[in-house]
Amino acid sequence: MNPWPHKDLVSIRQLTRDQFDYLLQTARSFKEILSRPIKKVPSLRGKTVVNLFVEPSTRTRLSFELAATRLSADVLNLDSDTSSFKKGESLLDTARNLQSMGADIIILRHNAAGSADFLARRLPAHIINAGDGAHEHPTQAILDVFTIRERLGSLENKRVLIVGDILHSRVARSNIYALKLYGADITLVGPPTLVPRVFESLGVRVAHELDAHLPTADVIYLLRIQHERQRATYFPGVNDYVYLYGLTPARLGLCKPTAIIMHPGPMNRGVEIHSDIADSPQSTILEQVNNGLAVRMAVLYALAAGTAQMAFPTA
Amino acid sequence: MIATASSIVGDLPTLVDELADQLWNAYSPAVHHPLLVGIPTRGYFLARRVAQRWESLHAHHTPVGQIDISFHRDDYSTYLPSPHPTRLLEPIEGRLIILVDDVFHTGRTVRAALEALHALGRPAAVRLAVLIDRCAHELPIRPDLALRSVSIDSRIRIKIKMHEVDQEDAIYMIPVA
Repeated sequence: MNPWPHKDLVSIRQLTRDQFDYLLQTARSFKEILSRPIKKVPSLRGKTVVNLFVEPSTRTRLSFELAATRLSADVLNLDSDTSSFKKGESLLDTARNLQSMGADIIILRHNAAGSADFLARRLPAHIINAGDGAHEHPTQAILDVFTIRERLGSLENKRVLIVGDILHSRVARSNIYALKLYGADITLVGPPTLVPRVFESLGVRVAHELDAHLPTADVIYLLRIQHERQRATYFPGVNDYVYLYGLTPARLGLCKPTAIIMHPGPMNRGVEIHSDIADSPQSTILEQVNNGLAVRMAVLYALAAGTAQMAFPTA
Repeated sequence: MIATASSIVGDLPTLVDELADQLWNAYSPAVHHPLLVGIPTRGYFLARRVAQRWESLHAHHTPVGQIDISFHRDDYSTYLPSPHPTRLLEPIEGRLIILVDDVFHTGRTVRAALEALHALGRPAAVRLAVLIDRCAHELPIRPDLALRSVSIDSRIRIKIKMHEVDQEDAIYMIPVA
């Protein structure tokens, strides 16, 4: 029997392969439940889950809210526009107040890397990192691994290209850790300004030219160009980016017919991905959203149960 | 300190045949067309073996499903179960359901299974068949068919092993530390 040891989910690097497998297995069960007429189980009855989103998000916040609701938890939503952050209250004070109201789980989205870890070390509530700056977005990586395994089976030695703005991407970092845990072969592709060679220290390849890598890729993971995070100019213009790195029908022609196209959303149609490709059968974009709900239910379920004496049964 | 319990309750393949035959006589599957629903992990494989015996002795086919009880357990806050997705091959509405599990202990697992089943529809009736009843009920729930009743110290665990998952057919009694 292996105990579930984590109070919080802050980073993919916390998870062993067994723990990651457990979350995927649990998510498979939740996916079955989500296909039923009554999509609800009582596991988190009486628990209070707070969505604390200090940075805008639609998909992730709704996904967590729905996941908690499907588990019968009570859910509160707090976003930066309507909260006391506008009045200058600190993150820790806000979170302490939520804790005092009886929050069992706090889901945090914040623009500062390390913010989820900061709260996790200071509060007894379970903290789930829903994106902290350019650091990590662990539930996104878990749902991506879930989606790839559903489509392609094993990830062992599968060739994964992650294309775009790696520098500012928490999704890329979490995915690198997760995909490596499953033995994938990862190449990061983008302009040198957004994909510096320093990423090689994570055990991945860095490339600045896309076309040469397309014919052997099993997974092409496209990232959004994050205009809001760019303080300087990292490439000359959108048209140049599309010309060099946009996934166009011509480029799709270079890919294996079995290759899958992934995107964490929100996507810029016509920039990193051609509109027709986004809607093609090779695209997993909406599957990722669908799987995200089951995966977030699995994370909430594991954490809410997680205490020191928690154990996996052998039978 | 592992002792085999076959001397007390009989060997597993014989018990499984006995379960299948008693269920056949009690519920007339050829007339009532029940669904066999196993409680994972070993309850499901028991249900499959029951269906296989019905098929070979009576040429009668019965669908076998499994019901995931993980998310309905009342001990969830102290014990994190390993989920097995629910698979029911046919709708349960209006059907006779025969729930199958290996060991019946407190009744809490079956309570969770009943709740999980009722989230999926309204069966005509639910019956419970187990190999061993440990006679330590904590709820007003008991099996309709239990092949053996064993009243032993709660610190001794009865562990059923099946070829499908354990590479052997055996019944063990294991002292819990």
